This record gives sequence, C-alpha cells and structure tokens, in this order.
Amino acid sequence: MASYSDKVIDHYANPRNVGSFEKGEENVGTGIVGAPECGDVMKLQLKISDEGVVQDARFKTFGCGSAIASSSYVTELVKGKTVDEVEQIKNSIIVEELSLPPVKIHCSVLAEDAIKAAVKDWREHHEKKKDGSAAA
Amino acid sequence: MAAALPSESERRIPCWRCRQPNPPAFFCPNCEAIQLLPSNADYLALLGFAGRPGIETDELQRRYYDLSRRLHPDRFQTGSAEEQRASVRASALLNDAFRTLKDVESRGRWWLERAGDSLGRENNQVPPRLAAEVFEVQEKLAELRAASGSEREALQSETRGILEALSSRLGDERAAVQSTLEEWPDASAEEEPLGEARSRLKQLLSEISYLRTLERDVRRALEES
Repeated sequence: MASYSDKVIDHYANPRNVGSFEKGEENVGTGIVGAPECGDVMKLQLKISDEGVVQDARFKTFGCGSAIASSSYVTELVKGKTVDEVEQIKNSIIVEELSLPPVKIHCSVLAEDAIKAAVKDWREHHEKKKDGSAAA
Repeated sequence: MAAALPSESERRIPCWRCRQPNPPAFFCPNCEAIQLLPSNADYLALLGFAGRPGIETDELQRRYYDLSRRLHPDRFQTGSAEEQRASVRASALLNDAFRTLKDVESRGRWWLERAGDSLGRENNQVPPRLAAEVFEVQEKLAELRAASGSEREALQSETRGILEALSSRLGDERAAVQSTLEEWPDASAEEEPLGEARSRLKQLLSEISYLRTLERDVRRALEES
C-alpha cells in the first residue's frame, strides 16, 4: 500500500469544501471527470464572478484517499484566482504539495482535468448569458 | 496502431536448438525443443488462440493444464541448462498468460493495450448518465450512514436492491465485453471496424470500472450500517 503524506491524510480526514452548490445557482461551472483505470469519479464546482474570479468551490469525489485529497486541496487553491490563472494550474503543483507517490499521480491529473472541465462549463454558460443579455 | 497486431504475432524467433524461425510457441514445431521466449510474447498465440480474443474459458483452462504439465521444471531436471532455464521462464509466462486471459475484463484490458490503446488514454469523460447514477447512489449511501432506527432499515433494504441491480448489470457488461471480443474484426480488416471495436471495448471496460467502484462502496456501506 502506498504510504500517504501528512497533508494527504489531513485533507482526507478533514476534506475542505465538500458538497455541491444549489441546483440552478448562477455563475457555477461544473466539471465531472473520471479515471477509468481505477473507477474514481470527481465532481468539481467553481463559483465564478462575472469578472472571472473564482469566489468559491465545492467538490465531491468518490475514490481513493489521494483523489479526495487532491480535489480538496484544489478547492482551496483556486479561490481568489482568475479563470485564466486557474486554467494554468498543472497537476505537478498538486503532486508537490501533497507529496503524492508515482502510483497516485493520476489522481492529481484527474483534479487538473476537473478544474479545466469546470471552467469550460462556466465559460459556455457565461457566453450564453452574455449573448442573451446582448440580445435583450 | 492496429497494424502492429499481425506483425507482432507473426514475428518469428529462431529455435535455440534447430535454428528454425518460429512464431511464438512453447515448443518448436520442428524439433520439439522447449523454447526460450521473451517475456512480452503474445499470450493468445502462446496458447494457440492467435488473434482470437473471444476465447472460451473452458478451452483455455484445458490448454493451460496440459501445457503446465508439459512445461513443468520437474520434467527438465535431467535436461540441458537451456532447457531448464526455458522451462522456468515458460512456466512463469504460462501462468501470467492464464491469469490475464481467464478473466474477461483483464483479457479485454490486455487486448486493448495490444491494439496500441489503453483504458486511461484520452478517456476522462464519465458518460453523463452513469455519472448521475454514481452521484445518486452515493447520495443514498450518505443517507444510509446517517440514518437510524426504522429509517435505517428501510434504507438498508433499498440499498440491497441497488446492490443486486449493480451486480446484475456488471454481469451484463461483462457478457458484452465477451461478445465484443468474440466478434473482433479480423486483423486484416479495415481501420474503421477495428477502431469501432476498440472504442466499444474501451467504453465497456470504463463503465465496468466505474460500476465496480460503486459496487464496492455500496457493499462497504451495507457492511458498516
């Protein structure tokens, strides 16, 4: 069994920002991604202001401790950042921060993918909203 | 990528004793010497099923037992150093091949990799309906963990129903993997049917993987409740 770092154990035992935003809440981008090798599923939601700043984040991850810790850490990491900054986040920073062993690196990749999927989802809604208000 | 398949299984290795170049096999068809095989030899070809991933496990088992006896190091105790070395390596290889091929899921994963793909490659999208189901069931498990008394009993029985449905679906999906492998297009087929078969296999194996994780969590929640 892989030995977990203290930070992984901390995030696993006390995950930050677990849950979902209310359905239909505006300015929320949702990213759902999975790792088919191990069956982990991760949902990350970002609440993003019209100016494109991440105000809050929630996650639900079903999988191993490293996947839960990676997503928990990411919800803290993204707050206050702009969407452009958030899209630049690489999995390597998660690996470093949590000292993930090589066999768990895919968990950090999953978290990076979840951020990208959430931002993409927000951008799609945001564009639509902008188009809608321009037409009105 | 798919073109790597026929050339790989047609690759010939010269017999260490008679020098005849042979496709991968445990025994030389010419002089019957036990062969010193590379560890990446094609499992299906070794067991006489070259290019046919839709094997029947009964037949696989028969060939495995037969070969186990014929390759056993005890039979080569009085043989040459080459034969002794070959029998140890061949026995290990045979065991790896059998372990990989007997289960339809591990056979499917192995076959996907032989076809130059892998389950994780460019494959992080959970089918939306399956994702919704995962979250719904996990929601139910959270309720079960928090419940007590008669509410808990009701949730337990509901969860047992979920588990049963999951197990039967996993059975169906495994059967679908088997039929996909049975209907696998010939190695000489066009790229298109091969590509379709690959993506179908990949999709089925991914779904199985997500359902397995879910099934494991359901089982755990029931045991702990």
